Amino acid sequence: MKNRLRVLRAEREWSQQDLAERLGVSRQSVNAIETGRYDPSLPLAFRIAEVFGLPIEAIFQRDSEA
Amino acid sequence: MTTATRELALQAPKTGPWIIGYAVTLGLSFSLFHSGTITDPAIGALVWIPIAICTAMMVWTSWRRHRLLGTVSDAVRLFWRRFVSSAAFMFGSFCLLAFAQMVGKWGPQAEYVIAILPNLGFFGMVWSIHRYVLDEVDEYLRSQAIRQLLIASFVTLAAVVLWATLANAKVLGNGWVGLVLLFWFAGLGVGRLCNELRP
Repeated sequence: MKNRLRVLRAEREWSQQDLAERLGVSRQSVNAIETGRYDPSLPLAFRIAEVFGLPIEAIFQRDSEA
Repeated sequence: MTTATRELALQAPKTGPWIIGYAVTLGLSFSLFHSGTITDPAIGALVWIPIAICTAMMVWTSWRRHRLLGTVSDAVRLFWRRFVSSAAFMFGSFCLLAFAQMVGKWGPQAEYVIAILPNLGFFGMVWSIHRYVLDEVDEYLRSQAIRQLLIASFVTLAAVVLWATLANAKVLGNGWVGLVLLFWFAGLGVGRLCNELRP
């Protein structure tokens, strides 16, 4: 699964730590999701969407869609 | 990993050399016992010193790294508190047992009771890992911990089954049951290494 986390974070000038604190997860989690090493669960994906104020599909795409 | 985090990670004390030291001292001790070089139990007890030092350093470096990188969650903090307390209890019980056997001469019943104590420490260590997996609210860290435990289980089972097969074929003698514990800790080290190399 691909995601736009790094781009969206950069647009808001947030560090990984800033985003991690907003999501209530560790910085490693943000790093793992950004680099595509870990796909978040549905509740976490919804939280990410909420933090960025975007629908989930605007942040995460299936590999075939990217 | 950001540049700042990478710099911090470089400053943090390394766990890897102590994992290697643990494996080397464990292998060396095993070969010394198995080859019959060490037969005196008092001298045999000395091989635990480098193993205990490597274990303590693995715990300390890992803790320092977490502290420096700011990745100490409440679950991690509780885990270390429980784990170190259990490990200290186990080590203290072993020392008490060795003292009772070599110096104390308190009788078989007292030794029987003291011999059970280190197991309680070990149960405490396993329980603290179990509690960590339940307490950790960060799903990625939890998945990493579960992977580490699965690798440790694989290493332990593989080593025990291999040993049992070789023992059945009379290639190896029957091993000391405490080795299972050492294999498991070695497996946790391998699991940690896998998490570091391929997070």
